[in-house]
Amino acid sequence: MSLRIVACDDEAHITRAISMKLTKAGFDVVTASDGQMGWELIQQEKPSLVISDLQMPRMDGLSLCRMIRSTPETAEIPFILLTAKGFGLDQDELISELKLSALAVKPFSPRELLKLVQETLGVTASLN
Amino acid sequence: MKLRPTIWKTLLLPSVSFGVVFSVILYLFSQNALMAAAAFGASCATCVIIASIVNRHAETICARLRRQELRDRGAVGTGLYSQVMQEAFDLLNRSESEARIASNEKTKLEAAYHAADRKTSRMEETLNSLETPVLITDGKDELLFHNQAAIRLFGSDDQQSKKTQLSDIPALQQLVQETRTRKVATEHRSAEFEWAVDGAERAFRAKSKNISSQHGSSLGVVTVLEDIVDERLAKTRHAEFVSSVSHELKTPMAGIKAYIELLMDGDVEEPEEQQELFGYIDNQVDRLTRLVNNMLNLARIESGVIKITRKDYELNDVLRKAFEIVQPSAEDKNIRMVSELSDLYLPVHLDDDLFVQAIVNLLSNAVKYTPAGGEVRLQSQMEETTAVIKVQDSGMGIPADSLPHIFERFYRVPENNKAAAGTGLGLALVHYVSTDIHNGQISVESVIDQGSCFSITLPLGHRDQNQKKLRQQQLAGTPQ
Repeated sequence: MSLRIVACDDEAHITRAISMKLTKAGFDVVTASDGQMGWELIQQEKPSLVISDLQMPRMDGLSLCRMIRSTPETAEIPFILLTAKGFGLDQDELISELKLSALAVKPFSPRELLKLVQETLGVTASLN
Repeated sequence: MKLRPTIWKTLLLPSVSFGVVFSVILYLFSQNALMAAAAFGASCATCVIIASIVNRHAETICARLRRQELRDRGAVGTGLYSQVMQEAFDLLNRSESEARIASNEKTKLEAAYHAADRKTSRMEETLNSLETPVLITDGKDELLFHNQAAIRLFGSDDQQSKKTQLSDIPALQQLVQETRTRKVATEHRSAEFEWAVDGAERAFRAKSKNISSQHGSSLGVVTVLEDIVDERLAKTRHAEFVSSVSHELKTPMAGIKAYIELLMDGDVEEPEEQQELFGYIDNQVDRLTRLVNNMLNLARIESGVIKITRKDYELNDVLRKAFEIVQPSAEDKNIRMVSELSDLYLPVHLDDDLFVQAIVNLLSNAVKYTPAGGEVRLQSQMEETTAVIKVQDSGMGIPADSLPHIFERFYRVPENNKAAAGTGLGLALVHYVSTDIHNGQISVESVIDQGSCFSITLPLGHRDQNQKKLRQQQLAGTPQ
């Protein structure tokens, strides 16, 4: 059974590109167009990993991550944050505070993202 | 002390004696007692009148006589009396001279005082006419003077309940104190502080300078306050703008890069799907171009360097062009785009590029702030001598307090900021293109959670037709 990943971004083409790359690599990808929808999917699907954009309608990426971390059932799900901001963010602080697995800056390479996902899940798997 | 006989005494005795002798002789010759008594009385009265006239000038004459006598004595005398008198006269002369000098000095001082008073009044009036608050404090940091602009902030002595003391604003008090006590008095010191005026939070930059005496001791401090609320707002908006531009540029670039990489890696095998991705890349390049054009056009507008090329067009053709540009992004978001263009021929004279960009901005905004499943409607209609273009959406709407600001550069509706990214440039450009360039009008109506409707009104008519009509009117001699 393939590992399930939830991808959230308000740009449909970004989630589509992520979905195409990860599906081809054998993952099962479910997509959401905002943070609120993403949170409902995460509760429902209990994914192995979440990839989310930072700036989204209704609930942004940081709020979504905090929600995941503060809920016992989802607190340990690895989280990769995508952002087009690139500055004004303290990456180290975010990574330690929200236990981010990685922070990828747009424009990103799907190839690199796949590598990050595989590494993250591999590390997680070995820890489990 | 021997008394000098007065003229009065000198004249009284001879006049009485003469009267007695004269009246006795007259009686002996005439044997008439009444005549003798009358003669006595007349002689006495004559003497009294002469004596009183002489006596009137007696004091002056005596003083002259005394002064002359003393001078004569002083000039020839060698006694203690003459020396004392000489000293007294010198002293008197010096006193009179000093009194004259003192009187002159007093007059000069009074003139200088009035001049200084007028100068102070002029300076106070000048300071009071300034919009900038100015405070002058003394050597103990007590307020000596504050101009009208400062009174409006701090309150005045007449308004003790409202009056603000320097100690109420610790940052300002510290600045004034440090300025006064520092050794190098010629330099300015400045500090920024926030402070609530009539319940509203305000921000100020205070600049202080020490006023020193000739000996270097501090006489006080003059402080000028500068309102920096707008400056701070501009900085915040600029920072948000830079962040927004970064997001707006990087988002389409992210899509382009991701799809090109997928195609290069052979992750998309189906030819139809490949074509779809190429189409998407093409759209994203257009999106980037529009964003860059918005930024460049506004920069050109700001710098006053913009070339406007207006030509005759049919309005619906221009609107269709804008509609087709935005439609793909609406479809991506599952938003229905409806075109309700007028059947009438709507002649307009406009700059095609700028006007299409303005309508694209309105349609893109409508798509951006409308949730999936919603609708965006583009309408055109004729109203008397104008054409009206409406862009209506079923989106989240704009709060009433934001409506007056939405056409300002870099302004973004705070409530909608989280809903979608943006630069705050789009509507500023729409406003400029509609009103300044095309002499039209723009208005907006909005209801929260129901949607917004932007209306642009343009004057109808082609320039060539207008000119032809004008020429015909001139030839026919009819007034315009």
